[in-house]
Amino acid sequence: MTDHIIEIQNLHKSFGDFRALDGLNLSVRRGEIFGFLGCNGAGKSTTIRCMLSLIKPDAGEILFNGKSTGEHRNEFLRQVGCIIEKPDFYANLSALDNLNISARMYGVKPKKQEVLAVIDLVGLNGRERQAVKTYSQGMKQRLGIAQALLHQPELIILDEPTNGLDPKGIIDLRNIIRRLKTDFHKTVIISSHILSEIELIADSLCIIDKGKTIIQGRTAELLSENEMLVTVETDQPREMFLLLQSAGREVSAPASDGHTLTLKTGRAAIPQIHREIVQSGLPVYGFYARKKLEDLFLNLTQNADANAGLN
Amino acid sequence: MLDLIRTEIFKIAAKPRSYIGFAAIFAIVVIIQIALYADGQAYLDFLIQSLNQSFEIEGMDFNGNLVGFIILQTLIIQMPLLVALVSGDAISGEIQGGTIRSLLTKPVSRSRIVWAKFIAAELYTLLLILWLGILAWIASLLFFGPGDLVVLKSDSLVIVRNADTVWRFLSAFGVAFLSLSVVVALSFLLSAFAENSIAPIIITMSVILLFTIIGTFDIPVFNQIKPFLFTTHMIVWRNFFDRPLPVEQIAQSAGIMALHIVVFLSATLIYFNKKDITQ
Repeated sequence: MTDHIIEIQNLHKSFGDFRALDGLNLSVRRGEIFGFLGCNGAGKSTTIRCMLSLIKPDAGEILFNGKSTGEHRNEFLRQVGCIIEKPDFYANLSALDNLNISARMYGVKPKKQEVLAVIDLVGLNGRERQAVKTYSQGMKQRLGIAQALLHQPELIILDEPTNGLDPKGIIDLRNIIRRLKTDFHKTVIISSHILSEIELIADSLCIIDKGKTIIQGRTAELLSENEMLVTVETDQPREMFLLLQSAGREVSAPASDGHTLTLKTGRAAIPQIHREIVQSGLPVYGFYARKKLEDLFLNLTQNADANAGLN
Repeated sequence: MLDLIRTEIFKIAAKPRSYIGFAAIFAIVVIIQIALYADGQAYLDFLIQSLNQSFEIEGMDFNGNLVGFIILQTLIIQMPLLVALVSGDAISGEIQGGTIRSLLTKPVSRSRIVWAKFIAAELYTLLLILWLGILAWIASLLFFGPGDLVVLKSDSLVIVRNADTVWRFLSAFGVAFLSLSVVVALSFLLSAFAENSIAPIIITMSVILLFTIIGTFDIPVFNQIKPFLFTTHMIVWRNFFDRPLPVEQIAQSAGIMALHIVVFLSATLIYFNKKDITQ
C-alpha cells in the first residue's frame, strides 16, 4: 500500500470562464492531520468537492490508496467521513435518527453501543434523542464529526469545520480532531482560512492560491529553519536594540509598546542570540522564537500575486 | 436498495408537510359527505332536472357509490397539489436543507438515490390514493349504503349497476394513481433543478393549470397538441364508468401517461447525475 492515502494530480475545474482549479497537485500521508489552506475562492472547497464526487473535475486525477476515486467512487467514499462547509441534518429528526440514516447509507448497521460511543466522543451525551433543530451550530458540528466517524472510515475530510463556532467550540473541535489522529489513527484533511487553527494541529500543510498549489510540506519544516521571528521583551529597549545591531542582527526598532523588539534570524542562530543577551546583563522578561503560519501564508500568496502580475 | 427506500420513506414520514394531504382529504371528504347527507337528494334532483323534462326517471336514489364518484370527481383536481407538496421537495428539499452534500458523499450512486426517492414518493402517492379511496368510497358506502351509480355526462346518462361498481372504482383508482405518478415524475424533474422546494411545487401546479386551460379551449392550434398533454389523459379514470368501456382510449391514455413518466424520470436521472453540487 502506498504511503500516501490521497494524491491529486493536475486537477482542473472551471465554472464558465472562472478557472477554479488550475492544475492543482497535492498528496496526503497516511495517519497525518493535513492542513489545506487558501484564501476564500482559492479553490479549497472545489478541490474537496471534486474529491468527494460532488463536482466533476474537467481534468486530472485523484487517487485514494493509489486507485482513481472516479473509477472506484463507492469504494473510496466508504472509507471517507466528511463535513462539507457546515454539517446539515434532517432537522426534524433526532441525532440518533440522523446517525442511523447516515450509517445505513454506508451499508452499516451500528450497534447501539457504537452509536453511543461516538456520541460520547463528541460530547453530545444526553442530547442524542433531541431533534437536531434544537441544536446550536457547535452541537451540529460535533454531530457532523460523529456522523463522519460512525462507519469507521480511514480518512476524515473537514471543510472549514470552524465556521460559525464560538471560541470554546473551536477549542473543543481542535481537541476532537487531535483525538481522531492519536486515538483513532485516522488521516484528517482539514481545510480552513483560519491559519492559527491549522498551525496548531496540522502535521502537514498545503497552501493553494487561484487553484494552484503554492507550497506543500511538513508544518514543522515550513515554519522553522531560515526565517524565524524572535521577540525580546525588555525595559531597556534602546540598549537592547544597540546591542543586537552591533552584533550584526537584523533587528527592528522597538515596538510601539516600547518594551519589545523583533529580529529576523535563522533557527541555528537563536542560541547564540540568547547567549549574547544573557552576557550583556540587560534585563529580559520574555524571549520568544516563532515562525507564524500567517507570515508564511502572506508571503507566499503575495509572491504568487506578484509573479502573476509579472507574467 | 430496500434500505435506501426505507430511509426515504422515513424522511417523508418525518416531515409535517407529508400529513397535509391526508388531513386535507379527510377534511374535504367529511365536509362533502356531511353536506350530501343533509341535502344529497336535493342535489341529485338538481343534477337531473334537465333530464326530467324529457324523461321520466324513477328509482334513482342517493347512495355511497354516487357520493364516492362525486367526491372523486371533486378531489382529483386537488390531488396533484397534495402529491407535489411531497415529491417536489424530494431533491430540492435536500438542496435547500444542505443535506444534499452529505447524501451525495455516501457510497451510493446518484441514480440509486433518485430511484429510491421516486419509489418512496410513489408509495406516498399510493397511500394518499388509498386514503382517498377508503374515505371517499368505502366510508360513503358505509354511511349511505350501496346502490346503482348514475353518471351524468354532457350528452348522456350512464347507469352502473351496484354489482358492477367495485372493479370500476378499483380500476379508476389505479388509473388515478398513474395520473398522479406523472405529477410525481414532473415535480421530481423540477425538484432536481430547483434549490428550494417551493419552486417545483408552484411550477408543477402552473404547468398543470396551463395544460388544463389549453385543454378546455376548442381552438384548432390547441386541438393539435391536446392529445400529447398529460393533463388531457389525467381524467381518463372517468372512462371506467362509461358503457361500453372505451378500452382502447383508456389504454392509449395510460400509455401516454407512462411515456411522460419515463421521459420525466430519465431527464431527472441524466441531469442529476451530471449536476455539480456547489451549494
